[in-house]
Amino acid sequence: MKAKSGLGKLISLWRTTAIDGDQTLRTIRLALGLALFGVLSVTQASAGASTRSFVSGNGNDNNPCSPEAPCRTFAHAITQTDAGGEIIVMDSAEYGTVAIDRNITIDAPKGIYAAVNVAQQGTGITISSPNVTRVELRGLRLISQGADSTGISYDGTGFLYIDNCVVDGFYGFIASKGVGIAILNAGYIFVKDTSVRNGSTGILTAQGGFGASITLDQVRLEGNNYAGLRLSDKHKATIRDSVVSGNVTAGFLADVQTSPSELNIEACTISGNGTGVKATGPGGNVQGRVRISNSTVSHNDVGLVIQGSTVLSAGNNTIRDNQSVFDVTPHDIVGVMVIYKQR
Amino acid sequence: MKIIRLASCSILFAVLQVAAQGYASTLAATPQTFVSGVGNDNNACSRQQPCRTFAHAITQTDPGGEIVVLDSAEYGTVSIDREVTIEAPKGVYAGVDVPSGGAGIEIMPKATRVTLRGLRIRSTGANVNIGIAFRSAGTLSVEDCILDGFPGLAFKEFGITVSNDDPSTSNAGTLYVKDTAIRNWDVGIKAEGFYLQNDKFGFGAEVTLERVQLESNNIGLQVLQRHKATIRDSVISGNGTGLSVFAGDFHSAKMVIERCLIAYSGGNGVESFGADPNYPGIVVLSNSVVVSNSTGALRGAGGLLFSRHNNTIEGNAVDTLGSLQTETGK
Repeated sequence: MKAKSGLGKLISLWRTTAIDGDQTLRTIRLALGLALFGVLSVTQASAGASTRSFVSGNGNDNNPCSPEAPCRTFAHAITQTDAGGEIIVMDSAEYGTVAIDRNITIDAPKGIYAAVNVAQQGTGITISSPNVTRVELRGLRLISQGADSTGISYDGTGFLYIDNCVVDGFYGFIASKGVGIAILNAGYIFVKDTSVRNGSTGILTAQGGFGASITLDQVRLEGNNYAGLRLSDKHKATIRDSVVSGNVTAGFLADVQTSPSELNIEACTISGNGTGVKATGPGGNVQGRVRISNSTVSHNDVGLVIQGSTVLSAGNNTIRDNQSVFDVTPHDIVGVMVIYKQR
Repeated sequence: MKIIRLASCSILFAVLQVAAQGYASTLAATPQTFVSGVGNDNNACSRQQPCRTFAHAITQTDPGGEIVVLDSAEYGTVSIDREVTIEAPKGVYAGVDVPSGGAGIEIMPKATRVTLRGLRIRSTGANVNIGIAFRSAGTLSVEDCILDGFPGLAFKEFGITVSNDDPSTSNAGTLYVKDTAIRNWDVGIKAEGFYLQNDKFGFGAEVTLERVQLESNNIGLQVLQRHKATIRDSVISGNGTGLSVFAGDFHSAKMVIERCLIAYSGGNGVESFGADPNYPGIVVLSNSVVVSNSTGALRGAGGLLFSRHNNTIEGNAVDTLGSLQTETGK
């Protein structure tokens, strides 16, 4: 902004001086011209943001983020990358937190360790700008360094793709803090080959959002001290071919309050949680709706808890041996599960 | 006379020299060539002296050889005219920017056996773009790739097209896609056919997809007349239409879907259409989950849609439209 107003001043000055033909003025004009050229080239350098930026552990944020002269941090590299462009990680290092303000892909190819350390109460990758409609994150390690932190926070309405990431240790002292992946509003979120572990809530969809459509494939939700996936009002999630295990309160927690939600579970292993699947709501028109097929629910303290919500089963799940050390009998299904017919 | 003789002699010499050079450059082609972000196309494309672009490296590669990517960079578009493998090993980013109105990678009729591994193919927007244009009657394997379209360009953007453009053969090729994500195109994968379209002879393409992500395309996979596709263990989510079969006036079109997730389509999750009752569109759906689409499974005019009745088709605004037929397990 400053450069622009400076540029404007120079142009107007140049125009006024151009009226006079005096030699001194001409010299001034030449000087101004040169200054203008200087300003223009500076402007050009910042406009010289490219479709592809590179970061390296040996990089430097004074560099242009090219393969020959890579930058050091995601936060700087993104300022040098066109909207719709890509930030490529060249070698293993920690690359710092980043607030994403444009459409971008951050890609750490397999074989490269690209971490984002997140301080207490901090957020690793923040996506909240309304300009952002498409973000891809690949191969990142989001590591919590303190309580009440969030790995990835998505407050958009567009498309977010998360592939091959590990989101580790985002714990909080209360359940709503300490979230691996927080989905606050709406949009389409695709997560594949990603582990979210050792936090409080692995994936949280926030109460009060417009409702997101979430697709999870080959995901691990493990060892979170509250829930693996917590699904709030209006959100929809479909998870397949995934492991949800060792989450202390519940593997899946669909606790609706005023609007329905939807959760589809296919070919998952849900084991070793406090409760495997917990679907609660006020009942009537406001119910969580959970479908489960081809899945195994076992070795949880309680298999399924169904209260004021609906759980529909294809009748082809293995649900047994859910029993805590204090129980004399298993608690596979608490409430009524409805069988639906496959077609 | 002497001068003429001398002149003709030197012309002959020049011709010989050119021929020799040509021979030398043919000889210089090697089974493995290498490209690098710091390479140069004046180099020999060797391990020590890598080239900079796929387009140049392929001219230095023996038919049946491999182009190996050494480090992370963008390597430009390439038209493949011979049997070749382009390999970016894991740990290396190898981008291909698709220019406006162009194709990222074209597989020409002479390229009978091509493998693409580990590439990131990305549309840069505007006009008709094709990520991978498979124009030969041979075999193409696409593995571990990501194809990113430019969102919002209806009818203009195609992730992979299968279309035999070789008038010398009536057959289309064989396409294998594995562990690959295809996003934000008008059509993710389209099996069409330029010379095949109204021709009564020849074989259509055989398309096999495994562990593929078709996400946020206008249409995920579209199979037109004469072609066949099999898709397994894949996620088809957030598209306008997920999987589409549309048979034509002279030929059927077929798709088998096994163990897939089809979700969040703005239109139909899976659809089957045909133009002539004698050549129906045929879809077989098995062990799959079709949820949260506008319409789950649509058996449209001229289409057949067989189900093994082991699918979860629930939670769509309309689950099924047109009655599903029964495919009995044998």
